[in-house]
Amino acid sequence: MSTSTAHPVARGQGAAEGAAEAHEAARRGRALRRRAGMALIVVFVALYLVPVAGVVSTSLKTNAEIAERGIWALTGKLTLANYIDVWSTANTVRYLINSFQVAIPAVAVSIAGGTLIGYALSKFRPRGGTLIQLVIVSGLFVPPQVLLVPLFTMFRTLDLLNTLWPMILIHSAVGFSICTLVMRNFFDQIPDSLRYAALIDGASEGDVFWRVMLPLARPALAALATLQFTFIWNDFLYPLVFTSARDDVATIMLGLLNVKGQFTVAYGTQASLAVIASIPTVVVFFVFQKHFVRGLLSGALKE
Amino acid sequence: MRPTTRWSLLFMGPPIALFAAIVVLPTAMALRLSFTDASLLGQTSEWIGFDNFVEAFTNEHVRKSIRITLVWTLFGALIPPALGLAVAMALQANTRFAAVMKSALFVPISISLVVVGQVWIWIYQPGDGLINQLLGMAGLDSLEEAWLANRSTALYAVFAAWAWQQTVLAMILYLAGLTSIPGELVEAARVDGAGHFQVFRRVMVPLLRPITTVVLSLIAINSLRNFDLVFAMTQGGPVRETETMPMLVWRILFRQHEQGLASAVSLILFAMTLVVIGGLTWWGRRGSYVD
Repeated sequence: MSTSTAHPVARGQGAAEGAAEAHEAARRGRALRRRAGMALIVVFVALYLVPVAGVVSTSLKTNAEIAERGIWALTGKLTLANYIDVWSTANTVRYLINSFQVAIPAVAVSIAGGTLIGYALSKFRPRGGTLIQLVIVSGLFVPPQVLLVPLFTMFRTLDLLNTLWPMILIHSAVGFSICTLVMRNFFDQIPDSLRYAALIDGASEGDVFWRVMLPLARPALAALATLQFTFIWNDFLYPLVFTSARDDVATIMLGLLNVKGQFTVAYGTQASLAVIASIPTVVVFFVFQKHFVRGLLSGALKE
Repeated sequence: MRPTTRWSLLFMGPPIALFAAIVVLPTAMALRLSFTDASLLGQTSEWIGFDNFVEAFTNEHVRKSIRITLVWTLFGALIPPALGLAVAMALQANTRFAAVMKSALFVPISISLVVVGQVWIWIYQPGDGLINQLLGMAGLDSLEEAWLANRSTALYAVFAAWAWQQTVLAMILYLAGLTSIPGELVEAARVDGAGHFQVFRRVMVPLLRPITTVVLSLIAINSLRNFDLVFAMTQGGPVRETETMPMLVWRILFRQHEQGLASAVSLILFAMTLVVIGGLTWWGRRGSYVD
């Protein structure tokens, strides 16, 4: 295929009148398209705004009010009662602490490990490197269900069921796949001459990595942190499988699911807990949004 | 030993050991389990050869979940990317909105599928659900439906909630892809007399191919391992109409306690993932300009 296909034009451009007319038609066509595009955007925004606004507004209404008028009613007094209630009575604070206790170490370990592997593969080019990369990146395609069966038995033997350890260990290891892929691609773009120059100046390989390469990698690390944090924070499959017996080791997502089961009609309570559970990832996204897209693309595009 | 070999070992050794313990070894164990009749409750297990795989391909529930997962992946690869690209193109032409929109749309993709599921349950629910209320207001009461409880609508209803989130993912990636297309290239095609459709077909589509491969791969993986949303919304019901393969594995494992069969079904899912990703990678390389 070629990038541009030449289509020589043979339009009637003789008369100035004709040209003006064509120009006018083109202008109208552009305006029409822009209006169609605008309409599409407005519909799209509404499709996304309504559900999000629905949760937030439900969280601000009393359960009695919702029972009387329904979830989507536009009227009603707004109150923070649900938040105060959820914060003080349910295990909400415990759930949040548990989620952070899983997410922070798992994000750190997965990125650290992925960076080390990616760097070694890119700069040391060890024998068998291609195979190592293939095995680690294939981890992206292993469905979690494949791992669940053996891991359940393994953690039961190690007596780690109903602790936070299974989630920390699994998310750390599973995260190596994407982190290695992204960091390897990143370090491949940094010229080897930089490393050799520092080595000749007497730095050790460790120094080069720590003082020269890592500071350069900050944007890629930020992208991975966003990606990994969101993924780990939002996960509930592993907590569901490994900690379902004890409420005090539940993460916030599992807590949310449990609350849904307990108070089938307490919509206001559910909604406020859902908002609380979503705040950390939404904040992380707003802060790092540029990095996120770059992170996703750098992992997959430059191979 | 080359000095870099020692550094390689030092750098890669610990993370690779962890990866081997949590991912590689369990995958191998799952493969072994799939040839046994191991149960989560019992202590002993017998080697039964391919029986689990024979069972998987003949059991109507497994076959149905394979069908659901394949249909889901197919529609997932068509609808969210197409909508995402359309909106991304509209946004690119209306730059005034682009910045605000981009920030706002990070909300749907940063929230968990548990939360997405909860909102959509409220949208679908009979009585005061949003859709039924809107239908009522429009005087179309006869079309009101218990969307998630009805056997013929449940799957589409859950899919729509999922597509709602995936469309944004596709849109954000396509926006990045569109901004990377040099404007001169489009201009040049226009000057050469190409119409809008031709510019789209002959310039944008080929240039967006790498991004499309990424979008399709991500969405395919998300489709194939779709457990969260189904669990949050229907747990596979009504009458197993929304039982995707991951949901079925969960059920076989924790309701029927059959480790062997659960491993076999999950490995079939793994194989399906590899085939889909392999196909997409091949498709992406085939039409690539680079290299």
